[in-house]
Amino acid sequence: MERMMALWIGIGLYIFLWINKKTLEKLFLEKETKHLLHILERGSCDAFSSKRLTRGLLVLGLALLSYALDLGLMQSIGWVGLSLWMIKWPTIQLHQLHHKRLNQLKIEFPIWLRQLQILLQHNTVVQSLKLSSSHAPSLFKVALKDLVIELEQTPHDLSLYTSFLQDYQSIEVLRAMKLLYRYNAIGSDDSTRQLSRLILATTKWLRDQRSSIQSTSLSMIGWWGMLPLMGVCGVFIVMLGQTFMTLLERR
Amino acid sequence: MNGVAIVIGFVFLVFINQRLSIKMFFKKSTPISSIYGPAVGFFHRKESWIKMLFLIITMIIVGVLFKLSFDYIWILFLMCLVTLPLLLYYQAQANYHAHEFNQVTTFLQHFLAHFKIHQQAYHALKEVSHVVDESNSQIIHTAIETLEKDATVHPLHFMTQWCPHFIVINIMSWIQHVEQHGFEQNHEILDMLENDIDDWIEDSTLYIKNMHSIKNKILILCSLSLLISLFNQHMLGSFMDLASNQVYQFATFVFLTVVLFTSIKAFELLNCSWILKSELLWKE
Repeated sequence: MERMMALWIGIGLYIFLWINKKTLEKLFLEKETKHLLHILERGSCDAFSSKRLTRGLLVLGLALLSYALDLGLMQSIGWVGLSLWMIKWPTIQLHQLHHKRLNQLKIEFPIWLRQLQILLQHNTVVQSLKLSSSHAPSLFKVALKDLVIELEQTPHDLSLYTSFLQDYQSIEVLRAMKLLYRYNAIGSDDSTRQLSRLILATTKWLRDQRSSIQSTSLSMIGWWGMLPLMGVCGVFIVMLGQTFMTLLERR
Repeated sequence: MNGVAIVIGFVFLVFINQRLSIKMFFKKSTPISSIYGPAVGFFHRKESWIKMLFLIITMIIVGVLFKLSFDYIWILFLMCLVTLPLLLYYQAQANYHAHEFNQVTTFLQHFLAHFKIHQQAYHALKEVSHVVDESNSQIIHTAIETLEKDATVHPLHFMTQWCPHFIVINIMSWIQHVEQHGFEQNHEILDMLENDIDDWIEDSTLYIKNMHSIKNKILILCSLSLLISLFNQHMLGSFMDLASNQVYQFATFVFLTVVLFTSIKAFELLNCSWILKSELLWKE
């Protein structure tokens, strides 16, 4: 009787969740999801939220079904956990992808900036940007083309420089673009000094990125050293068990 | 448990075979020819047989110390036998990577120095062809010949295949500009390029040094764990017949396999390029 009551309450709740799906979508929507979807060009936020919640609710239905079929409480709890995971996993994936793109940007941007500095020796900023687009990283090739088009119309607009790759909110990119603007705006008198500053900033950035990649790889590798120690622990535990067994047998 | 040990041994052989084809050990021309010289395979050298003799002696000593039965010793011996050429291969790869990096950076440094004097890539190329080894010198000679036939080809075009690093591309771009517009006001960029190469060498050398230090640390930890296990075995040996204890025999076999596997992973670190993949030219 109690079981039946719990089942009916569950079904009622399940129907209630389906009816209030839109409210649930808002409830589960994280602050940064909209921003991430925009940067990663993954479609509209509504479609994203609706898709993941539909999947989550369908899996939640399996939890109800497993309770109805008396397959055990643990299995039902497992299904509930899985449904929550189905809702959260797409956002985690978005974060991972964003992190990957940000790292890629941090490596590729200073490399591209180096190319630009060479082109700046004999070209204007807009011309250099235009010439560099052929070798620009695919990550911001389109954004660079748009920037060139806009700069050709209004070459002295600071906001065009500062808004370049703004979605990634990288301080280094912003700093470099400001320096580039100053180089363009001040003219030939101070341009050499501005270029030197840009070169110095990029050198530091490049070296920092290189050492960051290398130290990450080294820190991951170091963990292999734990394997033989874990092995000896395993042998020790097995033999401890064996010793206990021997002692018990003697008694 | 012997059956399980054979399965472990077989999995281990498959693992080794994935890294270096076991069939290659028996061929005359092997990937480890950079250590043994050209056209001389692993089993075609006297040194290899001496190393194998040492391996057999080591395995007997390990077997006696750990009181392992013959069944486990021969499986371990077989595993060590295929591991030995793999470790030598990694050592050869380490030499190869260091040599390649050294060749690229030496070429670039000398090329820039000569370009500063001649201000023409063609003359600079002619001057630097002797600073690299024979095979790379041949590539440079081919590039010079191509340049003599067709002047529109970029003098450093061959570098995009040899090492598509961003510094190389920057140098190529800079040379093109200097040859078009002249050398004036380009000293700063030249300094920048030279500094970039110096930084690259410094960072890469430090990275590889750290990598070697980690490899040594892992090997020390392997030895330490062997020592701890040996103490454990001596302790147990006082009140238990370990030679007939199947659980002990199998646990020790698995432990020694883990140590061997970790040693391979440590040596695998040597097979690492000095040039970061992320710094190579981006692809579409």
